[in-house]
Amino acid sequence: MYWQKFLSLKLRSRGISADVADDVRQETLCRVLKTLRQGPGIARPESFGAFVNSVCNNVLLELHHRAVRDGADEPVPEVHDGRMSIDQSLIHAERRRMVRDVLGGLSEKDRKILRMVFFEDAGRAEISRTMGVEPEYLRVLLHRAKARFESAFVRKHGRIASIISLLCNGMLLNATIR
Amino acid sequence: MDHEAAIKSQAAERYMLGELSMAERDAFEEHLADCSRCMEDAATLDAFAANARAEFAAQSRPLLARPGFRLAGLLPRLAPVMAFSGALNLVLLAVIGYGALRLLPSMRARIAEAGEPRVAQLWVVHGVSRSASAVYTVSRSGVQPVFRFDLPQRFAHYTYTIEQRTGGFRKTGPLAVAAGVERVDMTLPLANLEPGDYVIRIVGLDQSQSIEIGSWTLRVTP
Repeated sequence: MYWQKFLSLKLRSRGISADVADDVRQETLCRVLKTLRQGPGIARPESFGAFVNSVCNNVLLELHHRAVRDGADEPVPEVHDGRMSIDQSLIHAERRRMVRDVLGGLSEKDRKILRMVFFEDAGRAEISRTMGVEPEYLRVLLHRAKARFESAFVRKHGRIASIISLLCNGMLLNATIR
Repeated sequence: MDHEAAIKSQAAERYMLGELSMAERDAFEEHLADCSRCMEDAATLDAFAANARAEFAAQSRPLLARPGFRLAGLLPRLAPVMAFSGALNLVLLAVIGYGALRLLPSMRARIAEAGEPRVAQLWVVHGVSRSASAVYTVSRSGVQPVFRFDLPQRFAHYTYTIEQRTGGFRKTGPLAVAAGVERVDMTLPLANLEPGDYVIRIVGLDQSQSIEIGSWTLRVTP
């Protein structure tokens, strides 16, 4: 679950579409398991995270080369083209209520900024120009909103359950939340 | 990147906002793979972003369509506000009417011109073009283009994005589509578009998904 989450974040940060990301994730985990079961294994267990990350990088590189070689219309992007796309599986009624509370506690201006970031997919330069704020303000605002959301989550479910839910896309807690 | 540097530089927030360079991003991902605390931060941001987007999409829906909305309970509270608003609207109407009929006779000529039949050019966009490879060339001084595309699936909302390939111009917003419509004819005013290539994207949104319905390239010539 942890590695599924890690790979999902990594792949979406590169603007890779959901179906391609799913293939890359499965291929990565398959290669990792194969190495552990049939290959030489991992010499240093503390390097396991770096190993999974590098296997994913290799899979991405191969995919990119194949797309370029085959002249595909949409090669896998190598360059980060902006904000991360959204994973629809993360949306739940309970979380939305918490997010609504967090947004309700913000000023009109801050709400508008977050709307531009997440809903209108506006670029940083446009937001800065339109709203008259420094680009650094965006991440400060996001940091504060995240902290409030996290507090609400922990208050509701406790620390451990919150971490498990967030790292596993809420799958384990859906039954209790709904 | 170590944990202290990641926290100090707010790397998780910058990762979500796409502010990291490729080298910084790779370094942060290497750290993320080994640091459960940063992973937790990134996962929290991810969940917040997904649900904030869904919440903003719901807020952009018409008030009457939102779940839990009760008109009856609101009417007594809204009555004074509505009366005041009505009076204000009457005054506004009188001012606008006086201006349009007495002070701005040229406006009539323009309205008459706008009411005349005009020729438009119809482009039929075939299905989803994932790479926006279909190119439609239009002239700024020519006739107004109309793009026709099918809606293979019904969504609660639709959004459009017009983005200049070389950067600089980007516009996005909701696209009003009537209920039950399976085919859309979309006009595109060219007045604000400088000559160049633009990618047009149409996305369908509802509570559970957002899917690109179509994308194409518009080449605007002088």
